[in-house]
Amino acid sequence: MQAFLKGGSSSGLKSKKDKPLSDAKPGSSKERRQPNAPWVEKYRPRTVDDVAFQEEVVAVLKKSLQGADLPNLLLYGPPGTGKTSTILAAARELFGADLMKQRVLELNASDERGIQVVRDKVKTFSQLSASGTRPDGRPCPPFKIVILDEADSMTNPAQASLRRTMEKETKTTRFCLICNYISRIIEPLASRCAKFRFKPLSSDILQKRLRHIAEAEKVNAEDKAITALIDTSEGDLRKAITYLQSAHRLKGEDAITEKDILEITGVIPKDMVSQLIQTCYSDSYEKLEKSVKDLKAEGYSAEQVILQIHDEVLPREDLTDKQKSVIAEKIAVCDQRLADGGDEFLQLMDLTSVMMQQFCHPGN
Amino acid sequence: MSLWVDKYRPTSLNKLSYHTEQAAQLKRLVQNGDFPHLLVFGPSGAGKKTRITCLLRELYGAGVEKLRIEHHNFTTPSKKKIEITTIASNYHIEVCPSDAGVQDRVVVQELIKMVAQAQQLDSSTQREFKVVLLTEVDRLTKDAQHALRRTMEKYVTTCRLILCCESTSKVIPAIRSRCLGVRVPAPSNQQICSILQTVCKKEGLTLPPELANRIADKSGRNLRRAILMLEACKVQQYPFRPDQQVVEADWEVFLRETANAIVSQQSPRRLLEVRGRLYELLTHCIPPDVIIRGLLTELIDSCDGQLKAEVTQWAAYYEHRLQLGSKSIYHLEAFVAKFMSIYKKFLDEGMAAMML
Amino acid sequence: MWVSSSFGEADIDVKKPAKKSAGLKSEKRPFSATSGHPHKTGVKQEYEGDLWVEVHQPTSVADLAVHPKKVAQVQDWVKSHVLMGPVKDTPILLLTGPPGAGKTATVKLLAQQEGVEVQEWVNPVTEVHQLSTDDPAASRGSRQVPQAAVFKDFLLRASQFSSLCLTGAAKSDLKLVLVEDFPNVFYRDRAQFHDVLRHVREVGCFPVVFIVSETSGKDSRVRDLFPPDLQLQLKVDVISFNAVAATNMQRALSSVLNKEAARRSSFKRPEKDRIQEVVQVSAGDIRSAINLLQFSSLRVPMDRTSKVLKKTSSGKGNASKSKRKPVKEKASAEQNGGKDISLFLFRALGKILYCKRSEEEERGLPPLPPHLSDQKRLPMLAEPEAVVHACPLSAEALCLFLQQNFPEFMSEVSECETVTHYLSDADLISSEWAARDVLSHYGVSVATRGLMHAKTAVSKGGWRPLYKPEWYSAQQKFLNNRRTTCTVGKHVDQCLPAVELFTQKLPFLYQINNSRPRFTAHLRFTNSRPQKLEETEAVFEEEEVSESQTLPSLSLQQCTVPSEIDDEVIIEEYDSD
Repeated sequence: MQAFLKGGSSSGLKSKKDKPLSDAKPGSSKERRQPNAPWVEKYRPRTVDDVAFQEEVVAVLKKSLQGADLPNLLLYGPPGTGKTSTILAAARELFGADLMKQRVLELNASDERGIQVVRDKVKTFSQLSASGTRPDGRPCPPFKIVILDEADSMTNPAQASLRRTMEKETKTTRFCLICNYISRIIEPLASRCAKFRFKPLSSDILQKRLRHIAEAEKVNAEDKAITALIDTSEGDLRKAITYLQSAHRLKGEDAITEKDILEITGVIPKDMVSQLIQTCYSDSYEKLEKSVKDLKAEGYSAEQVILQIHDEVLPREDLTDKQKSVIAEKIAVCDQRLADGGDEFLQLMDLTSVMMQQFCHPGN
Repeated sequence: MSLWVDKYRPTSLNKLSYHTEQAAQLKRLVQNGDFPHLLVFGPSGAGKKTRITCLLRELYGAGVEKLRIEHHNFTTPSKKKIEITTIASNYHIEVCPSDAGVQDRVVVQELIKMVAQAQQLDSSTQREFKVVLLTEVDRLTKDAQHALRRTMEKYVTTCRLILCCESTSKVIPAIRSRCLGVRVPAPSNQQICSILQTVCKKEGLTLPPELANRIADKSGRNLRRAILMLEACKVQQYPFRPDQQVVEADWEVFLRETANAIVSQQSPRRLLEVRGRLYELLTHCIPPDVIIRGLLTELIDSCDGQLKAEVTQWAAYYEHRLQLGSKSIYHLEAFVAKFMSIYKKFLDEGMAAMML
Repeated sequence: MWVSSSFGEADIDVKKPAKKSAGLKSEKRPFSATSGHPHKTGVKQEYEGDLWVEVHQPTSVADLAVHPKKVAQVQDWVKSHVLMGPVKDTPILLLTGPPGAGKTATVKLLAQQEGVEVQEWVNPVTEVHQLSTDDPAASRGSRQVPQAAVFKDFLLRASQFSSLCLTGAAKSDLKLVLVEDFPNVFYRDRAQFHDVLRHVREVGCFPVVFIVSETSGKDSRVRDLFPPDLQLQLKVDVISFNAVAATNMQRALSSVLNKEAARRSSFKRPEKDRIQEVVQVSAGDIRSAINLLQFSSLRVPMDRTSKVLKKTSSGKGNASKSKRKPVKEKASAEQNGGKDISLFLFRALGKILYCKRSEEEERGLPPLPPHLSDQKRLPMLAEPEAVVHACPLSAEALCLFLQQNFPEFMSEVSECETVTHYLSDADLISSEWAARDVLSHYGVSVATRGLMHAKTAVSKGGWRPLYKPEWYSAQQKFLNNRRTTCTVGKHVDQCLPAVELFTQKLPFLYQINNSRPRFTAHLRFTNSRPQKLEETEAVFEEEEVSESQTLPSLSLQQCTVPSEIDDEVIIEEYDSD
């Protein structure tokens, strides 16, 4: 569904650039059987009312929808909380499904958004006039919507130039910026928008949605598996649904177990991590080396290991604050080194050997 | 003459000898018709590539094994020409985009575009997509990874990506979340042993279990290495003897000698000699991070508890600098000097304690 | 035996401007098109202004300062390929080596000796087009033929037809095409060049000799223009020249001096020492050696610039006693090669590495707290930044020189540890690409000051030799190795990640095939012989030169099966370094 929308909404602009593609696309997407559609798109909320858990946002949006006007919007919050879904649903209610193609421009790639590209696209798009009626005669607001997904990955100069564009086109166009971190949006731009914060979804909501989808798709999932999904997705519904679909693809009719979910999400089983931490208490470098090597041989990423060590070590009550702070500092350093491309084995050894030192010889 | 590693590589998902459950899942994935992008990861020598080849065969049949080597030229926006070698069949194309260095973004974008826009030659095949297999994705620049993520959305109807890497740490989350992750753990020592036995049986050789065990042990759960070692052992001495020496890679032996040299004497003069050896390793294309890791493993044996942790931390410290800096020799040498200094101090203190 | 310098070129241009037009067969160097015409040295007598490089060209093969073995190799090639007369597949020879090693001269003299005519390609000078009033673009388009096309045309025509008319009487059927000056387009577009080569190989019939000067740097022209697989495909023969050995160089220089003395009665020979210095300074580049020799024997009063420079670089406010020894030691060298880089470099490195400190403490400074007391140092006599400034090297290269040489000057490992740590810092600081311009200065400051600080004691035992950094040659070797193995490696295992290819597959392949161990040569702790940075011993002996240049040629001899590249070959190739 989303693919369809996207293709449509930007087709006016795309057709200039890559004709062969836009020709091929509708044909092949028709052939695609229904199960191929990503569930994330299939179960995207259709109306603003369907949007889960974000009551305040929904209330405000609904008010503006009734008044048939929309301010410039800035939606922010963690991934998978329904930001894009909300604005798409709102647009659908405003324009109806048919008109939406013409009225909505979605720019969502980090790499296609140099200053010039944004300016040009937005300019061409907003210059098309928009009438106040739908084809079927019902009234609709006389403006268009530009959705800038992942606005926080735009460079500062690009954001600054967007400010001007926003002011210039204000009569015909509304902008909707979507981002994860509002701190990365420059102040002048943020101040021109109505800001809405999206909260992480609660596990109840997640569970309800997942259950709903599982039933609709006839997925055979154990309760534990759903719990694991909720745990690993950290309030990100999109992630949870994607994982569920992946698990379903792999397992087919068979029951999806907790293990399958962990496997797909790349999360390391708890006992392996605690075993590693236990090894740190042994004060034996050889044993430590062996268990780190084994962990690596299992194919787990060091980043994930460090993350889980962090979650595991910090709540421990047998450690003093000083020990914890030493370990936490090392975790930060190692994580940064990994991000810089450092060797996984060495960084893990570094961290765990510090832990071993802290556990066994806290004095030093 | 083909190596055993290549000769006895399984070619279908059914014939894979370990992680069979996963193989079954992959098979189901293919039959499902709903094939997602894949991210295959696991340590070196765990059989990622083999698994992917089997998967491709399952997807397209034997036609996928007719390979040809192609050279592609791409032009960057700055008019620089890049040459890339790919391996392709009618159904898939395999490329290591990190060969293009910092210009990998262009390669990724152009190549996928090219594949996606070309019509499938044989329309009778049941697949409406081609596969682009990208290896060493973890070595792609962030820039290229972002481009990749965009491209994989754009051309999802006509091509699927199979990404292959050692660890997902260096793959951006946006890509990870768009792919189905397939973790390929290294085979266990028993699994390696049984595979070694199978290989020997097919070659008509008898392999003493002790030797198989020792090879598996030495290989560090790396199947490729184990089979290569086995073949090298055979060349060295056959019939096998249980106590036969397991052949190691020449650079590993060289590295061990280097480590011994470091332990046996700590002086500026020795540092100079070690440097010559480091250069020797570097010119033989042994990556500096592998060198530092190998040195650590060898050096650590001659240290005692506390020292081990300290040396490890320094190794991690300099290895990180190695990745950031431009000339590896500075950092390698700094590590060696650091070790020499620490170790000398340790020895001196030991001596002083003995005197008392 | 040495080829004329760029000065020479300019000189000729002035005298015979008409000749340098379309670029075909023009006379770039005295020897080119007219083979069999020994240069008449007698004409310009008693004229001091002539460049010696030109006047005293070698006149026979015996005069060449090139190692006889190399000459013989080239001679063999000429004999086997050129003297056979026209053949079907154009033989191609590639000569590589550092600049001033005598590559061109060897070819020309050999051709002359064997009676072969040499046709040389010279890049045409693009004529400045007079802008016509109407359509400049159109008229330019009609006139300007792409350089690459002209080049191709030249190769084909030169190799297909005997030249129509040449001034010399020694017109022969045997001909040789010489290319030293590659059209610039080919550096950008290598594929085009390769196409031309392939075409020539198929069509042409006269042998072609390419000469490429190998500069020590990251990108190698040889590798770009003649990648290993192409060499293989076209059966290119490669002969690598080494820098001229010191003994040969000395011989050549004294023969020049002899000739000069014979030519001009007023000529006064420079002293023996000075020749020796010239030999060292020129680093095997005979062209620059002769130029240097000529300048140093000019009878102009010693120019003052070098002295001024010396003053500034030796730091300000030093007590006069510090100047005594080092200045005297190197005074003559400095006077002689006043303009030469390595002398300054030598001094600069010395200043940093010896790190002389004054004997008195600086007054007026508060004492260091007890826990830092081991960091106490006496004031330095040389300001490191000033030394760096006076040194003509880039910051990056200077750091490499320091890294190469510091262990000899340290007495303790702990000192080495500090130095390497600072060097590592310096590399980190200056490797950020975007900020490199600004930060490299800080990087080199960190390196120099770190090194000087680490030294706790004054080096005893006087003078130590300095070496050139091994990094460059190691890097070049590495690139060569990687390239050769990667191209061939793709055939062994499709797309196996390079790391695994090098660390796992190749070593074992090697052992399975029971070949000679790769690392043995260095098991006995030889310090793979870095080049010394000027020393009185024979520095530029043939074997001293980095082996990297020999790699392509070796691999070629061994890779004789181009179509079916099997495992054996790679092993052999890998072994060749």
